[in-house]
Amino acid sequence: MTPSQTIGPFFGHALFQNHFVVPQGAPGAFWIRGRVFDGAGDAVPDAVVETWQAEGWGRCLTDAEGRWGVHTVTPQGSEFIAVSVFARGVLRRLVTRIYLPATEFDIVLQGDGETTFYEY
Amino acid sequence: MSFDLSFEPPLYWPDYGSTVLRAPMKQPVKVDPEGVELTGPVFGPDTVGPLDHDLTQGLGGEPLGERIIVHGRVVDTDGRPISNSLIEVWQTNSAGRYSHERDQHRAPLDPHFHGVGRCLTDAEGNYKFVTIRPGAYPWQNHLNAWRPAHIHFSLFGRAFTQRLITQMYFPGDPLHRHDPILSSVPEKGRSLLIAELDLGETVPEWALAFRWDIVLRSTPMEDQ
Repeated sequence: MTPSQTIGPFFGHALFQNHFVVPQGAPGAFWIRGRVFDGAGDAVPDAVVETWQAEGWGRCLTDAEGRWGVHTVTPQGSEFIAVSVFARGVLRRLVTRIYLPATEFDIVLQGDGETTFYEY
Repeated sequence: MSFDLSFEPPLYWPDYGSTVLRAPMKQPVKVDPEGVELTGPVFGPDTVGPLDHDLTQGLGGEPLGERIIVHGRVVDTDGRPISNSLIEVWQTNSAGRYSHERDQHRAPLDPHFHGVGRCLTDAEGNYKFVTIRPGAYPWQNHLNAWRPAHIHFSLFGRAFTQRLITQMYFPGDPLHRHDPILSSVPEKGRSLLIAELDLGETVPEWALAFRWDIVLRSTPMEDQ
């Protein structure tokens, strides 16, 4: 199996974003928003947060305050939305799950309030 | 189908300073993937423009540097081809500079090279890019930290469980053993990140070829 490597800091011009898992005005649509933090409590401005559910895929490049967000709907047939997190300084993809209902989801990479990450 | 971590870098790897505050310290929760995680986004042909696999075109002139072909095959650990699946790549120009606003390396930008490409694998899992050989660059991790030339690869596979972002390196580079990012991979896995020179695919009088095959973890197929 091909090993993982960090996404590095210089991907912003290479990866298209998709904040709209479902289009504006879709029935039942809402935003899930959050921030990404490191172990010192500082925002992570160079992370990528991707979401996946049967209804579609989202990808956000965090801004200077570590913010991300997707416009989506409650998934059918699953209790959660699957999430991948990549960043400079993260050597392997981090996987987490957003259990619904949720409109806020911060990702804490390390330390107090560290996000639950999953491994298959 | 548990994950063989013996070829994978650890999350906490202090030689690469940025991991120190970004590596989770709690043990991950081991789970079997559920239905949604056994599927993944499907990117159709309209995701990829006809020249997106050729990083040397589309900017009004020929970029400087060594033109190369980078190609290979994407399969899973059972040898099944990963067909019609999106690959995204990005890299520096031949001088070792990214076309990215935050890259401050004092090396020239190339107006004819952005260093960004994408393609879909074909029915047999093959991919091919035409590009310029990237350069090494300094990165301040430690005194005289220089990244060996590399190309970033992002792969979606067919399922969420297969998602991979990694880097491809070039053979014979003396910077490999000094690079904490490549060296974060256990020694037996490092060669899996290094392409090989491929004279068979090299186009005479035009471009050297390098071959790099990619293996994604196997995952049970969802029938949908």
